[in-house]
Amino acid sequence: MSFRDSTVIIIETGRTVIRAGLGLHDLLKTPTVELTARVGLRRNASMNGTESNGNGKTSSSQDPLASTSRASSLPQNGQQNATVKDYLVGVQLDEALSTDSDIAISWPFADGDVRDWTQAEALWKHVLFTQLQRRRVQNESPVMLTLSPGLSRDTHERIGQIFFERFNVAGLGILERPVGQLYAANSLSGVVVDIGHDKTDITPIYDGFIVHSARTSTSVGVRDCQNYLAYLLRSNQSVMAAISPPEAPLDFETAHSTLLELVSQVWKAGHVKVPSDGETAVVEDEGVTDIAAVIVAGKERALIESGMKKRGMAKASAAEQQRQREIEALDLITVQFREHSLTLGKERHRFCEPLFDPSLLRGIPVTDAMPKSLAEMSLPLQEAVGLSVAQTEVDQRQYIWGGLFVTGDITRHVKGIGIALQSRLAPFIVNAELQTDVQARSIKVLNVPEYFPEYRDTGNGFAAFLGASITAKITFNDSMGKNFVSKADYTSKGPRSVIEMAPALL
Amino acid sequence: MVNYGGDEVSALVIDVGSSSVRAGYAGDDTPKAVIPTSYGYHRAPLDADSAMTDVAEGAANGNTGKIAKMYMGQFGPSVWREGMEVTNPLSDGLIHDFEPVSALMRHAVVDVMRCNISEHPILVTEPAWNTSANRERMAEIMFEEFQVPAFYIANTGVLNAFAAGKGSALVIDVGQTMASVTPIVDGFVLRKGLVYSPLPQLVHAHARHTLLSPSPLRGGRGIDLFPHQLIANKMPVEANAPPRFALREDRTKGTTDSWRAWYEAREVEEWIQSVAGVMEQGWNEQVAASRPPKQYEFPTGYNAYFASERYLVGEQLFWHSPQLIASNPSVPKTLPTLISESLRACDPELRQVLVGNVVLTGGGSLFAGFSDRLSSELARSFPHVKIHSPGNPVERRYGGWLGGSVLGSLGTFHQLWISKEEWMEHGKAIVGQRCK
Repeated sequence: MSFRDSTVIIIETGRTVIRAGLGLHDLLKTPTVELTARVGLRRNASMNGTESNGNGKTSSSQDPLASTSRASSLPQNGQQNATVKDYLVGVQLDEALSTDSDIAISWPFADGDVRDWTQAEALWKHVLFTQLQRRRVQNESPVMLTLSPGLSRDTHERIGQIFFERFNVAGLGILERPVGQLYAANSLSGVVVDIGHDKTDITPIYDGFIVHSARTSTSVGVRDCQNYLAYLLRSNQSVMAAISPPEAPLDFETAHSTLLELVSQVWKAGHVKVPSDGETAVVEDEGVTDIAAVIVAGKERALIESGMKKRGMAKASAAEQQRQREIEALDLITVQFREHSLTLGKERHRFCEPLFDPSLLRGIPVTDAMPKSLAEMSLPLQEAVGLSVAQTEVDQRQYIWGGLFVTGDITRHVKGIGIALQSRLAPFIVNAELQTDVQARSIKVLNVPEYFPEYRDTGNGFAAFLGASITAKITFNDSMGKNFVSKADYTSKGPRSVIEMAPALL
Repeated sequence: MVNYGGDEVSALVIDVGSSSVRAGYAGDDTPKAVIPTSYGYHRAPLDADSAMTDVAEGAANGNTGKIAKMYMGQFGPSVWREGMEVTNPLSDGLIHDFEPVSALMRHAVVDVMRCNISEHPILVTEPAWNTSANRERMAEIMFEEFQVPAFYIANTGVLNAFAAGKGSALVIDVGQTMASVTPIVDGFVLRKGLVYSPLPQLVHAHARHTLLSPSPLRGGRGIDLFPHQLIANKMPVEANAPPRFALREDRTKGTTDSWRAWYEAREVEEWIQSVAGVMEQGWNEQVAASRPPKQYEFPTGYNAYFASERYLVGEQLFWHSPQLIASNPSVPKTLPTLISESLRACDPELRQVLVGNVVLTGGGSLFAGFSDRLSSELARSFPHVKIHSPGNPVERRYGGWLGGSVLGSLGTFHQLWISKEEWMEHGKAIVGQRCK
């Protein structure tokens, strides 16, 4: 049994964002749906009016393994009697938040597990039926779902139940995210570093299988980078003068949230670079050579325009060129933020520093989520990756080091984190001239290959979605259909069929 | 969870060894959770009042009130923490401290496998020389603390034979701390033929001595075994040249001796796994010298070629020099001695069956050339030797767990479980009766 490519649905469930798309095309497309993985519940709408259990449950500061545990510090407000319909999702939630502040926000996937099944169902349901316009009664679509690795069998069964019994899907395949991410980089062995909002997941994979005992997470993420840069920008007088003018100064909280907004705009616009520790040079942008792929992807227009612009620049007057050069030397950029035009200097490139040295965050007043004591400090990325790979078998390591793959939203806009990480991992690697067939002599940084033209401008950010698309293409076209559960399988065997299908579980 | 018929009871198998605790579903081919048995802990300060109350999951509040916080799992002892001590609750393969073991098992099942421990029947393994007090204590933990619906404790020797698909076998198990030879006949241990010795500890000590003691080959100095986590940076150096590295000054003060020792043992272990081997045909100085030397780099950046000394390490398993035996009469017996002692205790007609079904298992047997050497040693005394030694390191290392997985998934095994009701009715006595 196989499916038409146009009906296949990919749902890529990350910790804080869900991406989805309908149909597999000859050139795999980027996701069409992007949904923040949070739900809201109106507090006054709750029936008995009791306060939810708050965030005490997930507070990571009490966890004895704070530096490596998966638990996120994002809030979770479970409510026993809430139904799927009670939860506000997506645009609805955004609108509700802008008018009404009395909404309890929950992030059901933030721990790398499913915290609340009703909330998870609400999110998936929104993606399937609202965003992708499927109809429940006549659902012909099989779904390829990605999830965090290492979930229990019960979780898989429950997911099967939701998708078949509640969403009436025609088939279900489940893929562990890091495996998909590594597939997207065209490799079977490697270590996947997924930089998320407040957590970074590190997953070594050997020969297509996750080395579960070596998986780890560290509590640094984009949030820390943003806080750090916002803190640095406080000392930039021109910026502060613009957003918090002396005649009407903003209070500390507001100023910080405004700065955070600015920071997020800056890094998402690709204005941030990563200093690579001076040891490895950043790979130069080689320009576009694969014209055919670009034309197929319908990008020729954009390319020609950018070429025109470059030529136009060359004609600019000498004076202007002089000024350009000056700006380049100082590495200044000007960004439009709200009504202001702000000039930022080199400090913006320090954005990623907390990833490699979380101790920088100590003493910054706004990062209250950080544990206080040194013993519970989050591990820097390079140390966490080194430790993680050191937990794998001695003879697997050289293959795992042969595929360092950094992914996550941040890599869509900030290039070179992989190379920066590679140079910082040098202590874990032996001398390149060593005569050994066991110890790793080099680290290879992987990226999403050039031959996915749609993904060319997205860095490694969509790797999980791309990997899921590739897997879906193979899985759902397989007439034997061994790697997914069809509706018929589910009807005859029940939720157990989901476990039998997933090779990672057996 | 609902069971959908058949023999499926989703039993869990837990195998507690000296090096690691393995846990997984019966019927799987690899354990889902493999965590080190060693754990790190912080002692509570003497004026412990507030620190004791905020111990969260996984933290044990020992009877003595000394341990404030435990760090378990792959990222427990292996992560540097200021003032963290490391210890191991097993000695000579037996559990001597149950408090942390129950915490370790809970961690493996609840945190790593994400299972509800009280919902699954649990099969636990024990070494053949386990005491009945120990197994009863284990049953008590399972029923009283974990509230499991059913429990069984099985012998690792028997399980290793099952993992190899044999009912009768001579199981040679070389673990991290103990080496044992167990004759198994029709699924039962032949008690009189059971022999064991702390041989692997001697091998480890020898390897450690080889690396640490000053040697003329290495410019008259020993090798520093600092772990990566204590090293700030290193520079590439020539082979045998003194290493150029800087220690992390911020960490040297808070590092405990037990953590250093644990990591040193780990570095030695990795060196053994990477370069050490066993001579296939017995010790021969010339052959050993003619083998290509292997280069190995330590975390400090120091690197050297190891030639015949890498074979001397594995040789400790098979042969001890007369000087060593003379100087230390209580030196652990070598494998050939253990095997012949074991076989001598068995009936003559059984011996041929046993040597025709030798099962080699345990992580300590993963030396290159080990099974060839064993085969040549045995061939001197027996005509038809057949050794079953899985090439897959997972099968070799977790043979006991694997056998438990096989046993726990058999439909016919289910009548052997000790159910909770039986435990309530008969108490501890049932364990000795049921698990033979």
